[in-house]
Amino acid sequence: MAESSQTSRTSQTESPQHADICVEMRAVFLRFAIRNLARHKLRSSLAVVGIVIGVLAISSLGIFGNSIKLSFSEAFSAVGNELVIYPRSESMISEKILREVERAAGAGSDVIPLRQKYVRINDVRINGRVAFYGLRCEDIPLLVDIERGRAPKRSASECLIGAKLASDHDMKVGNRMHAETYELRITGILKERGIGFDINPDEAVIIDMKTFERMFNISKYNYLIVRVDSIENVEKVKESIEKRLNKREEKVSVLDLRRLMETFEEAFAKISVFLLGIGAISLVVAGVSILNVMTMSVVERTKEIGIMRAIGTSRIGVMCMFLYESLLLGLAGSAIGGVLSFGGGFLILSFWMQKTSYLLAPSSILCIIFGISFGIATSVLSGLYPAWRASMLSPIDALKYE
Amino acid sequence: MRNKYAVRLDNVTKIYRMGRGSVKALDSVSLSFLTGDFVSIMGPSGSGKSTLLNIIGCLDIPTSGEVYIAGENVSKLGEKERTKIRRDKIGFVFQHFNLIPTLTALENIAFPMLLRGEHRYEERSRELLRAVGLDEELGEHKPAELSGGEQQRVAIARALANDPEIILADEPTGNLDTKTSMEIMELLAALNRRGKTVVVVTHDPLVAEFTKRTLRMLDGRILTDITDITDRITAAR
Ligand SMILES: Nc1ncnc2c1ncn2[C@@H]1O[C@H](COP(=O)(O)OP(=O)(O)OP(=O)(O)O)[C@@H](O)[C@H]1O
Ligand SMILES: [Mg+2]
Repeated sequence: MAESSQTSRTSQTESPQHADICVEMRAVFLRFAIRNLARHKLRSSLAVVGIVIGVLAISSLGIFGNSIKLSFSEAFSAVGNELVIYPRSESMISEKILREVERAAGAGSDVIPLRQKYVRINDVRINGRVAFYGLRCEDIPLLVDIERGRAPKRSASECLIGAKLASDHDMKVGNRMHAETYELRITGILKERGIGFDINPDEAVIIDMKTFERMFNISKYNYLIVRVDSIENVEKVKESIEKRLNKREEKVSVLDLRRLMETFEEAFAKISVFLLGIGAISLVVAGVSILNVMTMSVVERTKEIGIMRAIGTSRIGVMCMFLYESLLLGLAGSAIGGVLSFGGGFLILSFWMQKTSYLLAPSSILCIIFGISFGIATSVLSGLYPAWRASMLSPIDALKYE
Repeated sequence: MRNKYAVRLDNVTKIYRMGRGSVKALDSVSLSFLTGDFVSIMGPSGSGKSTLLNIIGCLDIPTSGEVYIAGENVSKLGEKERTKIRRDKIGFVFQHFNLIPTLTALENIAFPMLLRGEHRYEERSRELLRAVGLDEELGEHKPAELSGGEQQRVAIARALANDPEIILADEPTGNLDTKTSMEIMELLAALNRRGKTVVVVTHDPLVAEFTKRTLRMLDGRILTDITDITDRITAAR
């Protein structure tokens, strides 16, 4: 008893009070990890390739989903305060209903009636169906911006054409266009606007309401756009219109674009999650391959682990060594994958979106950072179990292993 | 102040259970090794020599009984403490040298020092390399590039890294020719002369000749325990 208490005191002063692994040891384990990975170059590279693919998939698909959302919200940013009113009881909206909607909407809101028709055009430049919108002259600046030229005059045989229609068919201000029996002069070309729920003018022709009536003999309206002065009042105006027009019978249906956008945004969020899910699956596969590589490595080096444990390496030390290996694989794979993601994102965007500027949007960069961190996390997590198993080996059994 | 006994075993029994049967590898062994003693353990295969050494070396836990290393009772210690004792108080030398193949000779020697947080590891591992009689340039070689004798010298240098009190060698000459075996034993004897407690398991009577004391084991028991004065003279020759 006496001798044991005496030496336990001396042994405490002898052994340095270090943490489980010192800095030098970490450096050694790191060098160790690099050498062990280098010992099996092919195997290590394959594990890295797995992570690269996983990170690439997650980041590129994330960028894709994000860009869909970006392009969508870009196209619809202007229409948050709009209501679209469609006929319900009849196929078109009459002048009487228009007046009623105007009264219900109140002074703060613009009510814009529209007529729309697909017209077959047989011309030197265009041969096909084109959407025609009939708009009151004064309403034109409310809905579209003119890039070049001017708006058509009231009742004149003049028209505005969408940016895409103009560029696709090489049409310029001053050109003429034949629609049915009429000849229209192009007075202006619109600025590109993107897809919309109210109108899609990029590939359409816009003419004055009177001209529309004259050409197609249509005096009613297809739908109305109500532009409310502020977003907060949208709900109020909507209720007011519905109360006034739909009290006895459902004359119109009122579409709240903000609501619709919310629905779409939800759908896009789901698409994003789905795309990320696909990416995540490939990363899981990569994780399994790391698990496999590390497990093989642990089995192969059982003897070595036994030696290290016998000469005084702690369990944590052994675990640390193997975790470094998977961390290195993950870092290498994620770094390469992150860089390649810019390329992957660029390819996807130029194929499907025709707009690559989304690649450098902060939310896209975030996708890449997300992919990289996911890659590293997957590698370390996959390395955790083999590393733990290595640390739990009994030194004697491990030493006996051949 | 050093303890009188480097190793003390009190009624140590080790039973391996395998399936329904069990093997009594050590059967109520009591013994003590003086600090600075040079002991060889002999006996037929399966008599429990390695088991005894592993228990002394804190690699294995006795089924019952007490083990004292330099006065400290280690039989009840946890894995973490036993690892520390292996690192600081015990130097292992194995039959198959058991160097880490990815590390150079010098790195192998430095390894236990790094585990301990010794900052002067580079200098000290060079010293040790010289002390076991190896050329400086061999320090950069990987174990596979060294002969068996050279590897065992590196292993001994590694065992000395943290200046342990006890050197445990399980058939250190088992894979070496007679001449090299004698060189290795000379090295261990020199360490013993400098005060280390050295325990060697061997089948070779010539190897046992080097030691001061020889235990013979059979079926997990110590059969004879002979301290021979003439052995000491032979070893000192
Ligand atoms: N891990 C183990 N599991 C089960 N039985 C074991 C284990 N280790 C040793 N034994 C048994 O314990 C007994 C003693 O083994 P030990 O290795 O100590 O013998 P030894 O004297 O070193 O033999 P050798 O000269 O062949 O090395 C043997 O019967 C052996 O089969
Ligand atoms: Mg043995």
